[in-house]
Amino acid sequence: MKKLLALLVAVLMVVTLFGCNNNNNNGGNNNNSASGPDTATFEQLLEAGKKNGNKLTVYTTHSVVNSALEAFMIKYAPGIDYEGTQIGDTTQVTQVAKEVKEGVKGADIIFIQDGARVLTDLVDEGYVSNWYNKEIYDLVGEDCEPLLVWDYCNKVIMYNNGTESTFGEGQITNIWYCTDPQYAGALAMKDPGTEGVNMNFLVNLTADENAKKLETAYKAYYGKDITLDSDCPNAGYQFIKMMYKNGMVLGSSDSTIAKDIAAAEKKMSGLLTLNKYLKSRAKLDNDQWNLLYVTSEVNPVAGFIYPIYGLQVANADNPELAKAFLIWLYSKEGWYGDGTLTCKDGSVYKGMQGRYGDYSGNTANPLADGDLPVKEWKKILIQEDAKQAAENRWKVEDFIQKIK
Amino acid sequence: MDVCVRSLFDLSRKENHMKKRWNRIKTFLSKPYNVLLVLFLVVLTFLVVIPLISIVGDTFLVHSQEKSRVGQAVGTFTTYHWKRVFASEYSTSLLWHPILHSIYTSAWACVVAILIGGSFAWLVSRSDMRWKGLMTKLFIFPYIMPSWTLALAWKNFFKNIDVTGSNGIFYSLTGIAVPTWFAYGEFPIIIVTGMHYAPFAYILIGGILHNMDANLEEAAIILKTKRLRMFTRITIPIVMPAVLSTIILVFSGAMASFATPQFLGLPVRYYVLTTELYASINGTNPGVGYILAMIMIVLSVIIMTINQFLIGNRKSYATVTGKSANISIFHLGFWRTPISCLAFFVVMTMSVIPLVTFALESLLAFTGDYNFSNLTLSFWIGQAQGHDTWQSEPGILRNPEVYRTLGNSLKLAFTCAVGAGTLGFLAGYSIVRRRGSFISKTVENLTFIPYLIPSMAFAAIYLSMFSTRRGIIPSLYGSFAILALIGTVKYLPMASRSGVNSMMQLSPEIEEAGIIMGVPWVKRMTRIIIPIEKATIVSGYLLPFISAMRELSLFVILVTANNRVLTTLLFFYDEKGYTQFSNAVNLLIIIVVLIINFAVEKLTGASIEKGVGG
Repeated sequence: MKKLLALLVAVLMVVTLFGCNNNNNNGGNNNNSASGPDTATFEQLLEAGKKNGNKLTVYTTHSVVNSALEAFMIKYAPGIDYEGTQIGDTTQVTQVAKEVKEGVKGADIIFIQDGARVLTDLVDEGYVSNWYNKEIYDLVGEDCEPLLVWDYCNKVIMYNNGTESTFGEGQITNIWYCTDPQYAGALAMKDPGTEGVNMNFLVNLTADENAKKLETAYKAYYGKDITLDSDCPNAGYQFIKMMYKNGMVLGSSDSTIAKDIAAAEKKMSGLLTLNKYLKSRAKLDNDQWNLLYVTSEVNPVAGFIYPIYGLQVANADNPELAKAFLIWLYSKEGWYGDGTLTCKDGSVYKGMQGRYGDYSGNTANPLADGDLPVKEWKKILIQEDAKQAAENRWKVEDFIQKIK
Repeated sequence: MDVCVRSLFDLSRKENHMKKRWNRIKTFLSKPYNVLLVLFLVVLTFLVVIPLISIVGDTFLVHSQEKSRVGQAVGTFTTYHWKRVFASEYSTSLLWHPILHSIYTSAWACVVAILIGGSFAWLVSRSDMRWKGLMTKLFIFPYIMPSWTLALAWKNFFKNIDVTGSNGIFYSLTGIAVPTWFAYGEFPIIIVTGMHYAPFAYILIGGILHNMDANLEEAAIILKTKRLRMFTRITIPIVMPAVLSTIILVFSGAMASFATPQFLGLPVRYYVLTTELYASINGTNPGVGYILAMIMIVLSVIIMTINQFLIGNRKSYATVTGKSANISIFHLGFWRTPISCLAFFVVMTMSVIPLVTFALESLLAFTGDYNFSNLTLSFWIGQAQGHDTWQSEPGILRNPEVYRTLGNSLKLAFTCAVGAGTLGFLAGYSIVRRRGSFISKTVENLTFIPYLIPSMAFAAIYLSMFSTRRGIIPSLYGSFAILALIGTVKYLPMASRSGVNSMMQLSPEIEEAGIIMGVPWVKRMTRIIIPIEKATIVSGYLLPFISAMRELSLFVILVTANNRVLTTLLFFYDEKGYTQFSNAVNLLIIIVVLIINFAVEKLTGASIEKGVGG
C-alpha cells in the first residue's frame, strides 16, 4: 500500500512538472494586429517570397481558395512547393492554435469564418494577426479592421414553392414565423453548436438594437406587445427560445438541408448559404425539382451576412508569399480568373464566377449574374458583429444549453 | 581495533547485501519475460496512467476558449467546470439528460442485441434452420462495418417529411411515411446500436450453446418435459452467464458510441454523453468536456467490474459442463421454412440492405430522386463539375484525397495491428509466465485499462496530454504518431486478452524443453511458441486492424486535415452534405475491410469470431 502511495505521489509530481512546462510554452508572437497598412507592395512581397523559397501552406474554409492557390502559384511562383487544405472553422481554430503554440509547422495564412472565435482563440492569443497593405486598404477600406474581410457570404431564409402544401411566395414576411405553432418544425439550420457563424447570428440578435427590431417585428406579426419570459433579458433571447421550442430542426450541413428543402412536400424552410440556391437551380434545369426561393423582404431581417477573413499565422514559413497571395486574391484575376490561368489538373481557373452568395472584400470585383451587390444585402441582413459575438457568445450558448 | 574490525565487518555485510540484491536483479532480468514485464510497466504507466491523471488537471484549468465565461486568465486554476457540470442550472442539460439518454438507449440496445443475436445463435447451433452457412457469414457483417453504417442506412431509408421535409427510400417504395419517433431519436438509436452488437451476442451466446452438455436436454426429453419448460429451465439458465456478460459488454460499447447518436439524434436534438462531450470539446467549454470524459470512464469502470465478476462465474460454470459429443438438434418441423425465411430476412436487413442503400445513394445524381433516369456513376468516376454544382470534387475513384486517406487508413490500421498485436502477444506471454506475481497482475490490469475508457474520452485525454511538449517528448498534435500510439494502446486489451488466453492453453513444458536444450529466447518464440499459437496470434492482429479501419470516435478529435483517414473523410463529407460521396466512401471502407478479413481468414485460419470469442 505504501509502495502504491509512493508511486502515485511520484506520478503526480511528474504530471505537475509537465503541467508547469506546459504553461510556459506559448509560440504566438502576440503581434495581435497591425497598426495600419503596411507599405510593402505586391511585387516586393512576391520577390521576397520567392527568395524565401519555403513551402506556402494555406488552410481555408472556402473551397475556391484551394484552386486560387494553384492558379496563383503556377503563374507567379512556379517551383515553390505549396499546399492548400479545406478545413472547417471549428477544427481550424483548434488546429492553428495548437500548431502555433507548440511550434509545429502548419499554415502560413488562413481563410476562416466565425469572427468571434477567431478573435478570442486566435488573435487574442497571438496565434494569428491581422495584416493588410496600402493596396488592400485602397480596395477594401474600413473592412480591413478589426479583421481583414476577404469574402462576404450570406445565409438567407429559403424555401420551395413547388406544391400547394409548401410555402408560397409572400408567405414568409416576418422572421417570427418560425415561432408560430402553425409552422412548428418548419425551419431548419445547421446546428449553431457546430456552425460558429450561425451561433454568432443568434448572439448578434441579442444585441440591444437588434432586440428592439425584433420587438417591433413581434408586434407586427402577433398583433400585441411582446411579453418576455423571466429567463429572457430581451426580445432576442425570447426569439431564440421560442424558435427552439417550436421544433426547429438542426442539421449537420447546409447542403443536406438545402437538398431536403428543395425536395420538400410540406412547409419547410432553412437558413442557408445563398450558394445552395444556385445549386438547386441546376437540378431544375434537368428535372421537375422545386426551386429554392430567397425571401428578401422579411421583417426585420431575412438572415445574416458574415465575412471570411484572411489572416497571417504567427509561425509562417513563408509570410511574404502568403501576403502576396492575399493581395492577389483581391484583384479581378484572383477573384474571377482571366480565362487563361490554370489549376494543377489543367482546368481553367474560374474563381468565383457564377457563384451566388460570395462577395469580394473589394467591392469593385464582379458579381454572379442575377445576384445583388453586398451593400444591398447588408440592408436586409444582419452583418456579423464579431466583437459583440466574442463578448457575449458564452451567454447565448449557456442560454441555448438550458432550452435546447 | 575492535571498532575498526566491526566497521569492516559491517561494510562487508553491506557489500554482501548489495551483491545479493544485484544478483537477484540480474537473475530477475535474465528472464526475458521479466524484462518484458518491467518494460510494459514503465511504458503503460506513461501511456495509460499518466494520461488518466493529466485529464484531472485539465478539469481545473481555464482554456483559451473559456476566458470570457470564466473571467480568468488562460491556464489559471478554476473550479468553474465542476460547478457547471454538477451544481448549476445547466447540470440537467449538460449531464443528467445526456447520462439518462445514454443509459436508456444502451440498456434497450442490449435487449435488442440479445434478442436478435441470442435467437440467431440458438437457431444456428440448436435447430435445423436452413441456409446456416450463408447466414452465419452474413450475420457477422454489422460488427465488421463501421458502427454508424447502419445509422446512415436508417437515415437513408426512413428519412421523414416531418423533420427533413422529404422522405427516404422506404416511402418511395411503399408510400408509407414513418413517424418521427421511428426515423430519429432514441428508437432508431436503440435498434441500430442493438443490431450492430447483435453479432457480438451471437458469438458469445453461440459459443456456450455449442459447448453445452446436450445430455441435460436429452434427460429432460426422456422425462417427457415440455419444450417450453426445457427452454426456460435448462437452456436459458445455461446461457445466462453468457447473456449477462454480453449485456455488460454491449452496454459498455453502446454507452461509448458516438456516430450513431450524432447522426440519428441531432436532427431532433436528442443528446447523449458522447455527443455532449464532442460538442463541449469542440465548442467553447472544453473543461466540461474533460469532466464528461471522466464520468464516462467511471461508468465504464463500474460496468467492467460487474463484467469481471460475471466472467469469473461463467468460467467456472463452463468447466463443469464441458462439451458433449452429440448436440441435440431441435427440429422446427412445419415452422422450419417460415423461421428460416424470417431469419434470412433479418440477416439481409442487417447486413445486405444497408450496403444496397449506400450503393444506391452514391449513384443518385440528385438525392431524394430514386428514378432510374437519376442514376449516375459520376460520384465514383466522374470529374469535378465546378463549385456551383453538387459535385465540386472528382468521383471517389479518381479523387487523390480519397486515395491519400485510404493510404493513411491502411498505414494506420497496419501500424496499430502490428503494435497492438505484437505487444499484446508479448504481454500475454510474460503475464502468463509470471502468473500470480505482483508485477504480472499489475501489467495485466494496466493492459486492460484502455478497454475501460470510451474511445472519445480516451482521445480527449491524449489530445490534452500529447498536444503540448512534455519534457523530451515533442508535441504530437497533428502527427501520424499520435494516431498510431492511441490506436495501439486502445486495441492492446483485445490483443493481450487473446495472448493471455492462448498462452494459458500452452503448457510451459514445451518452452522449458527448449530452455534445457539451450535454445535462445528469440528462437524459442519464433520456432516453438509462435507456430503453435499462429491462428490466435493472427486473430490478435486482425481485430485491431479491422477496428482501426472502421474507427471514428477514437480519431475524430485527433485527426487534422493533413492526416485524415477514410472514416474522418467520410465524417467530413457528411458534415459538408456531400451525401453521394459519404455513401460511396462508406461502401469503400466496408469493401476494403471485408476483403482483408476474407483474405486473412483464408490464408491463416484466423477469424474475427476467434478474436471476439477469445
